[in-house]
Amino acid sequence: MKYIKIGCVFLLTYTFTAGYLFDVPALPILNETVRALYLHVPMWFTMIFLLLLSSYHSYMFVSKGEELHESKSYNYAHVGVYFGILGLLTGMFWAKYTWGTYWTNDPKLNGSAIGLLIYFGYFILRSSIEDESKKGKISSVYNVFAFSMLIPLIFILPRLTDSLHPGNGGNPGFNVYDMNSQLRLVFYPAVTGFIFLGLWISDLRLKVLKLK
Amino acid sequence: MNFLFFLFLILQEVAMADAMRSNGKIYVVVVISLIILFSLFLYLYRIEKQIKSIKKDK
Repeated sequence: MKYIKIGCVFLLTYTFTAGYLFDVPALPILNETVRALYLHVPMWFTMIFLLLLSSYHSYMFVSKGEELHESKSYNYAHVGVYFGILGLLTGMFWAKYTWGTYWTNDPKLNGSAIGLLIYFGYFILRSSIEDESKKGKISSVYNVFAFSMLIPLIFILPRLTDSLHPGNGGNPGFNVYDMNSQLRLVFYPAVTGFIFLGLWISDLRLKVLKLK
Repeated sequence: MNFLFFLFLILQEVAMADAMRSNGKIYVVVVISLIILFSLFLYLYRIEKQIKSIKKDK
């Protein structure tokens, strides 16, 4: 955990300096907003990573029955959804100045919004059951299915149709047209840094949960 | 038609914030965002300290 925190500080410091100063490809419409890639996309990567951890711990709770797995899975889902909301908000703002509107009926946008709503359902379900043993089991099973629903909504369905969002409409996520080596130089450290930040915040929240 | 469109994309001048960078003012933005970032890190660190001290009291 200590190395994750140190790594987070270094990588995000690098991201917030190099992200503004390094050269980026000059693209029409996007202009300098291409730099938002370093902040908007890592939000979603962090969300996916934390939700994957969450569903892993849910699965472990259902199979092993240890209470710690349940609180871990709830905790990771909570922080993951925060990052998802940030991804949605930053994406909306970016879309306003590149696509001209905050929201379009794009499969990628609707898919990610539905995915987040499914996770809101998880929190409501978890807080609505009073019986402690039932609460953990039912919400854990729901959580595993929530993640398996999120993958087709965000990664598969948008690729089956046309989409405004880069990396969709039959194309793989990271093709040569979407990203060049200049962007990758900051993008990958940014993704790692924000994932570490997500792990750090989840660690803090878990400590608070354990104290209660 | 498609070819003409791509030619247009290649030939047009794309506005980038190069002037900002040559003036050196982009560094202002860098410093401001670093201040925010570091204060957030400090905040997380302080919360961690508080949790540790609560743990000791228990």
